[in-house]
Amino acid sequence: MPGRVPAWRRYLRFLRPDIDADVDDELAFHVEMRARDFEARGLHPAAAREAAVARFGDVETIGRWLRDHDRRRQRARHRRDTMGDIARDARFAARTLRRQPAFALTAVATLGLAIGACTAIFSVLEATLLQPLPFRAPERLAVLQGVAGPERDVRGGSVIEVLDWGRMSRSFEHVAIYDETTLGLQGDDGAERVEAEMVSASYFPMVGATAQLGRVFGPAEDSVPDAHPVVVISDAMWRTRFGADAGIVGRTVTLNERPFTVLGVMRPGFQGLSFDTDVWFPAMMVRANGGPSDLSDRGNRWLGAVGRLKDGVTLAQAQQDLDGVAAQLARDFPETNADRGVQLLALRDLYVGAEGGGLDSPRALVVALFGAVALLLLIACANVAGLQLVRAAGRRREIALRMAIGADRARLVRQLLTEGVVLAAAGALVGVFVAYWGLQGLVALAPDGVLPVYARPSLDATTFGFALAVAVGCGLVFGLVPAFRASRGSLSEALKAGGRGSDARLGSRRFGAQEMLVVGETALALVLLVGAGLFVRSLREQLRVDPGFRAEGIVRARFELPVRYTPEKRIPFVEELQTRLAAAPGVRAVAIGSEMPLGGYTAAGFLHVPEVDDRVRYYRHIVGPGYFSTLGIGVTRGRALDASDRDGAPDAAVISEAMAERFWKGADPVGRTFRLGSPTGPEVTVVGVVRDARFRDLTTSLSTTEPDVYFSIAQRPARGLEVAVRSDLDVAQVTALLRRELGALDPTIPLFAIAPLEEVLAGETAQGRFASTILSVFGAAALLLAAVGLYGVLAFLIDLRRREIGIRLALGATRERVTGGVIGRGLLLAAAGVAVGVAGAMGAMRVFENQLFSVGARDPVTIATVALALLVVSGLASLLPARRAARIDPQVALAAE
Amino acid sequence: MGSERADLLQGTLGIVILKALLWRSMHGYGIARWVEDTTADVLRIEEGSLYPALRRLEERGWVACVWGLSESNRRAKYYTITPAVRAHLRSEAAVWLEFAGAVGRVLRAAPAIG
Repeated sequence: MPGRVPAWRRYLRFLRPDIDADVDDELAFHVEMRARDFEARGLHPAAAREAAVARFGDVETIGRWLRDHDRRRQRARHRRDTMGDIARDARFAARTLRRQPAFALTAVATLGLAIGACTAIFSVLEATLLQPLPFRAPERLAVLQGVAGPERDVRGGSVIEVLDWGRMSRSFEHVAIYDETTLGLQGDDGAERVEAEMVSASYFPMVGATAQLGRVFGPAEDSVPDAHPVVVISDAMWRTRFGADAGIVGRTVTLNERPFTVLGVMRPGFQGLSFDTDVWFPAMMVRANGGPSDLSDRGNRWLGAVGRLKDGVTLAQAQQDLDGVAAQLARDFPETNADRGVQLLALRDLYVGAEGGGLDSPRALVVALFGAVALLLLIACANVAGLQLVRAAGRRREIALRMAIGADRARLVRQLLTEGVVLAAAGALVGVFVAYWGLQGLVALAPDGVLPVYARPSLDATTFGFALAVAVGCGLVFGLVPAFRASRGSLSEALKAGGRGSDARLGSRRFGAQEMLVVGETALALVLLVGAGLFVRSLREQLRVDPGFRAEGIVRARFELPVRYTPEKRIPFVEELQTRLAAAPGVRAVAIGSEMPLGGYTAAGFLHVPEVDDRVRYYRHIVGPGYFSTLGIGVTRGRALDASDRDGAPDAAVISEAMAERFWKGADPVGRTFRLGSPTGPEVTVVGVVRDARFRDLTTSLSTTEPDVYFSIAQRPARGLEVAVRSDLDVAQVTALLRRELGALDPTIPLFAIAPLEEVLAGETAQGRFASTILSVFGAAALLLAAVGLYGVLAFLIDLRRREIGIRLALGATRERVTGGVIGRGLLLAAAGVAVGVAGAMGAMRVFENQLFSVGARDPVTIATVALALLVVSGLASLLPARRAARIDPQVALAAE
Repeated sequence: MGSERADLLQGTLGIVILKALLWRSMHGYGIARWVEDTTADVLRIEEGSLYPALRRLEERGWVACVWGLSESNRRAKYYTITPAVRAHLRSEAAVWLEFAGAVGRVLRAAPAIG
């Protein structure tokens, strides 16, 4: 039986309808009237009431239904009202902005650029680090790498070792051998190199790759070495090279001069973990691609593996497991496995680098760019917030009045917030276009290899969502800032003459809100500029590194002599090729060797120097006559390798300066000997010393890593070779020449990796240049915004204090003092910002310690330079307002208002 | 009252309420009493369903409500029919009466029901 509504609730009805009470009232009324009716017919009051309730039906249920219904309707009405209010606020805000085009354009342009840049970089971040890799449950995939020594240098594993990892560990569903390589594909129309992956059978289900024709490898292909010469090809290769032949399965293709049967064609779009693979062959066919004759040789290491973690097993747990496996192997096979381990990487880290990775890590680059652009966005927001404050100061009177006559404070705040969001929305709209064009530019500018192959940044739903979220966030900030300021402060103060109060004075020590914003902006700008400066300096240091060779005018290319070229056949072939190339018009010099500098291909071995007890790992280079002179690698002692170092003559070697320095210090190493492989291995005599040349990269220290040792090609003829041609010809001409001459000698040998050496050299610093360029652009933008912000604040303050300045001038203050006061204020703000910024930079830049070459993350020179630059720019930005202040005519200023 | 009669009444409850309100604005109890009086107590509105029916009519915009004071000075919610519906009601009622008349003729036609 619904009860009477207590008196206090009745009074609340003046404020808003009380649903529950109303429903109760209505039903209570009905029942009471019915009860009265019964009473009138003679029933006892109590009985009458009972009968009335019974007559009514289920009062409780009806009451509940009514209450729910009424509440729902009230909520819907409330929502509609609010939506209507917000729509109205938005229209009003838009009108207000139209009436102040200068402010609107500035704010929208600033925001648009900042939001656009942020969105573009975010889409790069998303494509690189966030979007899941296109494999089955990619978070469960991990890469296993064989490592050596305390530094955990990546060396790879041997065939039998990798199989042991899979067998002995308990953390993986499967472990598959994985190696990225190339194969020679021989066809009727000549030969070409194809990208290939050598894999165990479990690789395909592991990554979720299926065949559209035929099948993938099964247990049979993993069983016996050399027994199953089969391959699986990619959809792309099937279409382009085999014309989508429906009878492809079972066809024979010739790879590395061996016949292989096509077992299947992969589904479209799958190109392996390397994203460019066209051919997969079984790990047991490793000998077809230069694998060792003894697959149980534990010491012959180069392979990697890929594994799928069992459900519930973390990477850390699996790493512990593998450490145990490595320890067990070290105990079982001490000669080959002492000090060897297995390192586990999440699959993504293979492409982007591990957390805290080294120079040129794509992960670090993307994070750095995103951090920089986020700072830029904050600075832009601070600028617009400052502009908003100026506007709000102008409306302070209006707002104070409205509040005094009882305007709902919440409504007011909501209106101001809506204004901010409208502004941000307009900025976001512009930002989308900026992001689109910016992204095109970024992707075009990005050198190859800077971003992982799978990363295809685009403006997709996630990116739009991000832009929207950023816009809303910014909008709320812009709205809240003036809302807070406007709703504070007393009415009387706001209504005072002038009415555009600000609690900042030119001479006061306290900073007003706008000034705080400028200090913040300056601090952020300093952090950004320091970051940019550090990357620029790192790049400059990299560019200053002497590569040790002369790259101008050289074009290099790689080819591989087929297996049928026995060592005796290789030497005349190479000599003939070199002679023919050298005779071509326009060619100045020709060199042939196992690799050219910065090629990325280097073989390693061990040697024993009598002066040193331990064995030394070194990089082995096979070079032909004229190698050093062609490449401009200076010979500092003794001689270069030449025709006299042929088969039969004593084993000769040329060593690098770093090696000479490391083992023989000041003494002349020419004539000294060392042994290859073991203390009883072949003895080699040093015949010369050359300048250090950079083969791996520009940045690794040469005095502490593997030394370079050069051997004569006539004494150690290799199959994998590179040729370098120094000429006056352009790349196309040299390419044609190379193809012609190589083809004349043997048309089945494909030429690949053709590139000018200058390009290869430039490629080493490509990422550094990319990062520096973009960061510099952001830095310049930040500097500009901070300067504009400072200018704005000072101009506003002067405008505000026009009268006060006029009075002071009238009372005898010199114009210089006024100017000095303004500039001083400006410099004070800048100095405060710089101080905060330096503290921030010292902390923040530590993250990029590993990405900087030869410059520390807290490099004082960079920080000092940036701080000085900011102060100078701030001083300049203060000049204009200062001069305006000095030009105030006291009479005009006093007469106004 | 038989349950069959009650079911008939539910389906046409809306129209009955509107007809009642055509007379004058009433509160919920007043509507119930009007129906009882007009049909000489043959029809009794299931009072539970009266109020939800009124809410539905209100949602469709056919009745409006306002709080007022009853004859006995108690607070009560009064319902009024909206002008747009008056016309609609006339045509609806005409349709219903024709139907009822036709049904009546059928039932009175020979052979007479025993």
